[in-house]
Amino acid sequence: MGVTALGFVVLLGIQALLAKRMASQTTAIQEHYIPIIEYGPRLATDFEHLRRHLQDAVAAQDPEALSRTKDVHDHMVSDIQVAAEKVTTMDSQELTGALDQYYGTALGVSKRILSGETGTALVGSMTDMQTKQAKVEAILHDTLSFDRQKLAQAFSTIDRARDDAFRALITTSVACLVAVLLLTLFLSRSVLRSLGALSSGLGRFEKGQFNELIDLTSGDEFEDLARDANQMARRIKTLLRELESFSYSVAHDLRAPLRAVMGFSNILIEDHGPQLSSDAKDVLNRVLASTQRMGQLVDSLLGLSRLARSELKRERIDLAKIARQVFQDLQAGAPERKGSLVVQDELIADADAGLMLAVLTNLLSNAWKFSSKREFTRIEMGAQGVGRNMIYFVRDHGAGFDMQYATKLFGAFQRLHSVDEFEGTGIGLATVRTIIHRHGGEVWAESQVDQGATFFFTLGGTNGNKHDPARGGQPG
Amino acid sequence: METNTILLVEDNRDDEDLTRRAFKKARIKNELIVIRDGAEALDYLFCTGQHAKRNPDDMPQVVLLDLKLPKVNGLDVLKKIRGDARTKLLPVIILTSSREEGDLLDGYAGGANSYIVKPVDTAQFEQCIQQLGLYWLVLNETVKKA
Repeated sequence: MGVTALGFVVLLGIQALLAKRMASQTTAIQEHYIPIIEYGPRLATDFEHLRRHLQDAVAAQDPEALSRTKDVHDHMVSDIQVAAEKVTTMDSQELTGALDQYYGTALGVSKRILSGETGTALVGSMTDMQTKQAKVEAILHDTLSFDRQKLAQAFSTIDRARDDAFRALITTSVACLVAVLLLTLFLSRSVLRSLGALSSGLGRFEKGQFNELIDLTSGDEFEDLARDANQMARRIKTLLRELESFSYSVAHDLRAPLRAVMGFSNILIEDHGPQLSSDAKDVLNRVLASTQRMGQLVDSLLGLSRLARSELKRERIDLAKIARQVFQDLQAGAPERKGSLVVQDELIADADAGLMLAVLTNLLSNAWKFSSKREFTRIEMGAQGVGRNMIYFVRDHGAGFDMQYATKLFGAFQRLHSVDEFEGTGIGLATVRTIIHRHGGEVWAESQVDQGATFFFTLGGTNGNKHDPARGGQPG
Repeated sequence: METNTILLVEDNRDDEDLTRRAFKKARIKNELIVIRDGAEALDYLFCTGQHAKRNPDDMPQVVLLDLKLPKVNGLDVLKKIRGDARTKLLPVIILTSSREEGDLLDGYAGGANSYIVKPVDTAQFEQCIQQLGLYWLVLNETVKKA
């Protein structure tokens, strides 16, 4: 910006200098040459008129016409005065004086000719008159002629000045353009550097590495941005620490009373069972079942928070192989059920093996669980797309769910079915989402009640820390 | 000389009662001495303060140590136990309520002989105590006598 402005100032300066040069030449032409061009011929004509009137009057032997030549003389005198105002080099007094002397002599000679005089004296006066005529003509020539070469020079100077101005305009414009280009190049390089530092820093933050902050001292808005991001990272770090200590308290302080409720209820049943009615025992058993369930919930919640903090180790793994193993275990756990897993031979992914086992265990268990009311359980697994945009899916043909609740699906302890219908802690899909997010991917589901459900997920890829607008787009 | 006592450092009376019952059900008849905070546990082991008159030779056979204790916490108690020649070899079992504490313990490498996360489920808890007693009281004793 500054360079462009400077370019413009230089351009304007050069233009001003050239304009001044052109103006001085134009002024010279206007003040010197144009009045001469205008008045020179006029005064010459006036003088010619005067001489002719005198000659005509003499030829016509007309004394009245002779006296009228005074008007012609006066007209020329007034023209001289007007011209003198414009033509600076003209001496009006000298010219008028010479004119008057000529006119006086010429008038005298003319009268003498009219009176019929001849002879040597008259010839002498006529010679004197011719001398005075020559003097007027000489003055007129001196003051009212100009050097044509000088005028041509003045015009060519203007031409040159105009050419110079044009050249200066072109040169300065090109210089400005080059300066702007260089500046843009420099700025974009520094912008790219700043963006690089920000991007890699934010990538670290996304992976949960808050120890190395963004080091950026570019002195511009990017530095402000980096400072804000660092502040955010510090805040997140603090929050995470608080969350960890909160989990710790939940674990310790919630589990102890649960253990007591369960322990003492058991004592009641074991030691005082005979004194209790069957209703009372039933109530106690319900207390026990709830306590046990709450213990599981607390444990799975803690498991989830540990998962979010665990280290992510990406490697090339075969999701199909893991899925087949998980499905075998599910089938082994319920040998009376008939089912099959349809999956291609290989589904290679760049992900954490342990965490993806947890994801597939949860997704396949869900598919298996919600298909339990079908005679035959068919689960499909596959992938579409390429590389980082690869979308994996797990599809069942079970109970499904109302899409209206699709957003609630992945929240911790969110359940769309009652425990009586399908058991579970409601932590499975929250675990899936946490793991997928840790990979920099997205997870979503599509379903219709009684038509089965399909769970889609992406895994971000090795450059998962960089924002990829193509990611997270959900088909259909 | 060692006695057959078990030292339970536990501030929660419910947990104390449940532990006591679990020992009883596992037929472990060793005397159970219960101390309610970390500072008193150290007084007991090193025969200072209110336990100054105790015979310093009477060391418990095993210490069951909770981590979250009033005054001096379990890890500091463990550090003192391991730092003193008299108690350096004393079997200490960390009994903790949370798995998170287990993670912490790995970091401190506190020198506990084992640590046990107390299960919420009564049956699992009783099974845990039974195994613990079997190993540290019966098995260890057998090894020493042999």
